[in-house]
Amino acid sequence: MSEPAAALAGFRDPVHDAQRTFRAVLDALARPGTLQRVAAPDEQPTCLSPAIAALALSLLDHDTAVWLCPELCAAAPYFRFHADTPVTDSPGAAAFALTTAAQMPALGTLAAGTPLYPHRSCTVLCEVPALTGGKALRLTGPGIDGSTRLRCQGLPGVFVHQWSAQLGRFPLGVDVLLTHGDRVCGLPRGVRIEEMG
Amino acid sequence: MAEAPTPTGQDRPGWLALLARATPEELDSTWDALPRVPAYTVLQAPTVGLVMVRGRAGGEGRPFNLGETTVTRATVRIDRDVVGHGYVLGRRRRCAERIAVFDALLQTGDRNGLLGDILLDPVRKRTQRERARRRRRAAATRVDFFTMAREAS
Repeated sequence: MSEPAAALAGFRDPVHDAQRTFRAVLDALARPGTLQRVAAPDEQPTCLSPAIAALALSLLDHDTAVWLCPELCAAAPYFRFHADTPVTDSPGAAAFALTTAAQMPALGTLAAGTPLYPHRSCTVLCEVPALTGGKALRLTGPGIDGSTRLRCQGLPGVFVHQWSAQLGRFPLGVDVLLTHGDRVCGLPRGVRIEEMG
Repeated sequence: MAEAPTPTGQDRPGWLALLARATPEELDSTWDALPRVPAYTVLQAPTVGLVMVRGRAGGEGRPFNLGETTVTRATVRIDRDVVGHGYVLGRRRRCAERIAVFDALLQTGDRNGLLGDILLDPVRKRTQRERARRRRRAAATRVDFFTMAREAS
């Protein structure tokens, strides 16, 4: 496909598709580790999965600076056209960071909010190669009955370590949404992640 | 007051300006006259929004906000990569979408000059007629102010 990213259609029914996707995000963050299905857009740039495109179309607007990892930069015109989103070069200034798992910036370099305004933090939309198989992670914390297991491929090896480091700064920190295909999985900042042996 | 010249419709800003001035009837009859309605993909469904209109007294004063007006816009794609935009005053969703399709068609070279003949030319002539009529009515009530030269003391 050689179309310029700007000439691609977004949601067929912008209002309801965005609401369905937003609901999926709420469910994903309320029940960490579960996979929720988003409303896929009609078309998206080849570098994006339907899920990360749908999340971006639902969550981004002209007030949210977005940072794109080099692999996803080709999608910038798509977001500018459909969401009127300003694209920033600096991950620290971004309200949303869109990245592939391989190019995920260190969590500590992203906006974590301030003690007075912890919500002024970055939300990471991270495209992973698969949400099945791979290393098993054990999740515990709010929204989880006991513990749950998340299987996900492609996250950098240092991710779990960086996550534990930001847990110590709670309520500051970033929230992560993992995407693949038309599925999203939420990792809100309050959840504890351990590698399973 | 300085008036913008009537657009010729030869270049893209020109034909978009004429399309925006076309009446719903002109757009619909052209649409029905198309030998074949092109297959198109809606990139942005017709959306109604507000636009601030700015004015300048006499066309040369300080710009000021005159007021807000409703505008409908739409974006479509034909032939895989030709993107057409439609902007029109008011809440006219169908018009905006058809203008976007016409814009895309005109970019691909307006096969047989059809759109120019049955849509752009009539709209341009009608706009010119209406302007001339307005100018005549305004000229009839024109008052020329002047200041008497003060006598030398």
